[in-house]
Amino acid sequence: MSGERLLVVEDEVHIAEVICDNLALEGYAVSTESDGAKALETIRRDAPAMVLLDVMLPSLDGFAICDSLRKEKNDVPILFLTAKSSNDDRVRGLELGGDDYLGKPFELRELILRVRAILKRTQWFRGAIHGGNTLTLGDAHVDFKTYTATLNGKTFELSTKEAMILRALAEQPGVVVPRAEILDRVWGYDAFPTTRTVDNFIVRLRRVLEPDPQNPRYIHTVRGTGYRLTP
Amino acid sequence: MISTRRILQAYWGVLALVLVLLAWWVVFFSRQGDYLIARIARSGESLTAEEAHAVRAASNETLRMFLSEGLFLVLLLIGGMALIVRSMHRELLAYRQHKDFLSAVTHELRSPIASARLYLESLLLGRAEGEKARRYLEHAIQDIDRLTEQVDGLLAAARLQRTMPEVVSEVLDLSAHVRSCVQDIEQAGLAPGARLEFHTSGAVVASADPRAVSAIVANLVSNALKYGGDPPRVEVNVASAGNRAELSVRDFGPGLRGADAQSIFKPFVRGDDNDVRMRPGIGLGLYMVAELTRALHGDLSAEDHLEGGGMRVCVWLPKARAGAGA
Repeated sequence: MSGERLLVVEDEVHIAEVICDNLALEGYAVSTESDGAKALETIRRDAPAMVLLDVMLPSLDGFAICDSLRKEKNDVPILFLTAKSSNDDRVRGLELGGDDYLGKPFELRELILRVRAILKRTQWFRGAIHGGNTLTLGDAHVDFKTYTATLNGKTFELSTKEAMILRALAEQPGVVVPRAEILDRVWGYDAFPTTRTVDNFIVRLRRVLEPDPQNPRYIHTVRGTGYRLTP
Repeated sequence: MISTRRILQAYWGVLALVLVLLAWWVVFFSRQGDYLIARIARSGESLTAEEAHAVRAASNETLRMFLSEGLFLVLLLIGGMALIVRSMHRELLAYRQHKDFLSAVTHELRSPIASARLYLESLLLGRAEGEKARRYLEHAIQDIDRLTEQVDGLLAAARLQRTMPEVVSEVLDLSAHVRSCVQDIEQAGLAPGARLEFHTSGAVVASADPRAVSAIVANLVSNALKYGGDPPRVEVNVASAGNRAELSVRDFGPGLRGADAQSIFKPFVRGDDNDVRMRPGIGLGLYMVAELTRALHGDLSAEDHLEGGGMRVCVWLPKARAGAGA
């Protein structure tokens, strides 16, 4: 039994009930909220291990909740569960900082697997943070606790995804980490982003950490495969 | 979809070009008379004052002609642009309504499907037994009933768009009938904290179809409860208004929030407000109310900016004629 506290934010009473029952059977401690604004307060106050978030909610919609949390640097994992399942909606949800997106109707087993996967990814990343890890790349210093990178006296904020990508590379210094593995560790097994998305994040990381981003010294591209970090 | 901004930019470009050409014509023709006179002088011939005046007059005449034609062209372009902008605005509105409708229908249909599926899948996987399994089955059936209701609503709206509903008007004690409808809604259960009140000035007898009136009350009250504040407060009132019977439903929510009071009775129209879009509904309730009211030879209107806030929808129905048998 894992016992992690999950919050289901869903205004459809039946859906909330059946999801809660099934997650409780998996050993999670589940609570629910049906109102968007109240859910935001609950997340801030109770800091659940994960939020399963509907989009169409009274008083404050799920996208706005996710946006508010990410702007507050609250990195609680968010799984969108919604009938708004067009590509545009999925992209919007993930761009706002959602960890995964599941369109209604969905399979119960798939929901449970996704919840497990997201929690596993979070545990992996937080485990690294709790280990007190920092990363030094030449003059650049990365602090995984504060999601910041410092170079030449300037401090840059890293997003959760950027920090996770860096962590995935830093765990295997000198080893080529395939793009697919990065995707799997950071986004999940069938996540929406493509391998190009990883490339875009790497470009941003190089801008922050490399003295000359055009000629990287630390984050190397291995053509057709992935990336290698050489501290 | 072609970008409206691009089309407008192209139009502004053409208009600017025409204005530049027009300006060039003005400059060109205003100097043409003097230019011709100078050229004739250079060729060694001399013009009398009358001849020079005639040359300038001819040049000015040409200038006036080009100016009037040019201005006409500019006006034509501005008029065309206004027509295009209006047409595109309508297209965009229709496109947005269609998109909103699809989004709302998707949500309304997917939610009960998702719920029923989760209950049934839980049962299939043996994750519920005994009383819990029975409850899951009951809830799955409720979800399917809700789905059926939504589909019926859509079909009814489609029928309403093709033909007026058939109503059979009779002498109806509107006060008593509406009171009974309100009681039915209360018995079906209100959200926690919701208040639904009924007021009447006494017996008001209308000529109306009781089924149609029931549907009107159900839709108006449902709409008012949905948008009538948190928790919602709704007042239903029946009164006599001259030779008509007045049924009004008032809520104390945020009102129309900028929505057009007439357009809310059109099918699949929902408010601009994000909060409205995030609530369940497909924009058919008030449309059905409007169609049923028309079928009953009645009239209706919506108003907000009321003292105390909220919105009121009034439906006026013809009173039963004196001596008409019940």
